[in-house]
Amino acid sequence: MSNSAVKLTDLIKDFGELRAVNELNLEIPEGEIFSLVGPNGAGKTTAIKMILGIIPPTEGEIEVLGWKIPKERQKIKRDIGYLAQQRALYETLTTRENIEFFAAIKGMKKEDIKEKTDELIEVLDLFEYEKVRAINLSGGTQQRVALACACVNSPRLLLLDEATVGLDPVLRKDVWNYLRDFNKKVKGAIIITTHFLDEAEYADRVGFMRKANLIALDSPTALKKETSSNTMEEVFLKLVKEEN
Amino acid sequence: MAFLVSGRVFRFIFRDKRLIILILVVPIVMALVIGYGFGGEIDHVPIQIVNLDEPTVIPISLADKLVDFLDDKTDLVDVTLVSNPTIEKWNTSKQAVLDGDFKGAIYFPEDFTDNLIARMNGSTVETSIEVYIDNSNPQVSASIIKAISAGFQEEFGESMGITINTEFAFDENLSQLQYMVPSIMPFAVFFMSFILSIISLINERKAGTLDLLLLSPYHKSNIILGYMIPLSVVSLIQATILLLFTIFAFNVPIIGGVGAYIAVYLMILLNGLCGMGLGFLLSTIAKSELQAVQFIPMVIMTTLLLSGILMPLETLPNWLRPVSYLLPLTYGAEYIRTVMIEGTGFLWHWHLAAVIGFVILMVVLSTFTLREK
Repeated sequence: MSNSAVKLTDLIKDFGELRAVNELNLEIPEGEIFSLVGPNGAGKTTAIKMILGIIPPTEGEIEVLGWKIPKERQKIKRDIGYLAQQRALYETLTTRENIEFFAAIKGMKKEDIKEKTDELIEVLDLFEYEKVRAINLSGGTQQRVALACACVNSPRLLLLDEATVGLDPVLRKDVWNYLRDFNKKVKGAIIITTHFLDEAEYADRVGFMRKANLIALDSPTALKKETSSNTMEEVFLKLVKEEN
Repeated sequence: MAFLVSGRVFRFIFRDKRLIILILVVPIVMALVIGYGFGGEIDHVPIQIVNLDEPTVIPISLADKLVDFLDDKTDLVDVTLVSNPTIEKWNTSKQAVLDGDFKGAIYFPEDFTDNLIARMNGSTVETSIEVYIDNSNPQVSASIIKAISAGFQEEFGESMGITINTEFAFDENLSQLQYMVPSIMPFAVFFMSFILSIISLINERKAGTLDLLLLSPYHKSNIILGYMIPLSVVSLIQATILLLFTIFAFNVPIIGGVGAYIAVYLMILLNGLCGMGLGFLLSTIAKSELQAVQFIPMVIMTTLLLSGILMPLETLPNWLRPVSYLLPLTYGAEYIRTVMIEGTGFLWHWHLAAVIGFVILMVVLSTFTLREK
């Protein structure tokens, strides 16, 4: 079995006339935090949903944790975590109940569920909201609860679609710190999409997407060096300029 | 502003091809269902005739003439003539009505023609026929009486002095309420469960949590079953309230002892599960809330009018009846009516299997069609 968490080969997705993802080639090894950065509509969410097997590709091949997707998607379900863009939570369940529910449907053992939920409540600073129903939480807190739900089974591949949206800069930084710690412990791969260009700094490698194409792929340091830029925002602007 | 809003709504509707199809198809189906569900006459009611008439004074049998009329000249009834008729076979015919094989039976005595002729010649001798009717459906029994009366009128004129001894298979004082309750009860639970399930699954999809459930390593049939368990409890509660109200507030008795209560309760619950299963299936097929909601009136009207709940199946045109037999409430209503009115006690009938089969089919199909969108 390969040690790639994700391997995408010539991946294309068309929605009717619209090409959402164009010939995407990407290999993400286990242990890496990979950030897929780009403006809204660049094709990031479509790529994530194809990796999860939620939507089938028009062309190309997807391999996740050594399994062909979407054909063998059942094999990866226990080893993945997913945070959807829309903060999918059960409004009538409390913070703890939501985390415990998503742990249980991932097939975790009862004793592990309790331990892991306690840990996530502490690490993500959710203690005061533990018994509050999701409907009564602020957007930012809901986002952290949703993140806890995605991480609860310590997945080998964690896919986070706009995980930091709605969070203030301090909380965004905290989430990234958490992801770093999480990755050190789990040693899985994390793919995080974001349209906050500055966040790309925190990732091991960054893929810039624009208009369905992957226009750059490297570590933040290398990209800044290549484009003689000081910030990731500057990198992106230069790449766009070059492309035009 | 109003035009801007309506422009957006128009675009929203007309860009969803499936919604357009539903918008057009739903009223057509409903119009057909209303037209045929309410518009039909009760005809082709199956009856059996035991004709013992053997005239001695004239060469033709007047009973035969009446049988010919019922057989050929009216559509109200479909006649099956008992061959080699005897008195014993009349009892068999009555049992066939009780068993539901026929809606009525007519018995012509041996001296029917002779007595009629004697009366025409001034005798005071009484001529009578026996009619045995399944009165579990007042409209159907009325059709049989109507056909016989029309036959006498047509063949013999009015003042022939024939007595029709009508015997009803079930309680003669059966009210319209008693007739309607057995079918309205399963319909009510079916309806409530259908709405509950279709809306619940739409909400789950809208919240985005359905996608997460589908990413669970467990088989997706667990999602459907997971919904069925609590919604069944809701159905159970609703069925209990409904049953208690019907029995105690409206004095509609269930005869046949504990077995009958269990049978009625079980069938009501099974119909609730049918509604639930259908709700799941349609919400997995629909791609939006609006599409799913379009199914609601179609399902409700179709089941109400084509399952023999408001109008007997006999009123439907023959080509539409197969649709009735695809609907679980047809079996549910018929089963409960049989148990409640005929006092059969717990009834092992294939109608139970038909309804259970429908539930299983719905669960299997919903599991198959349940996917991320």
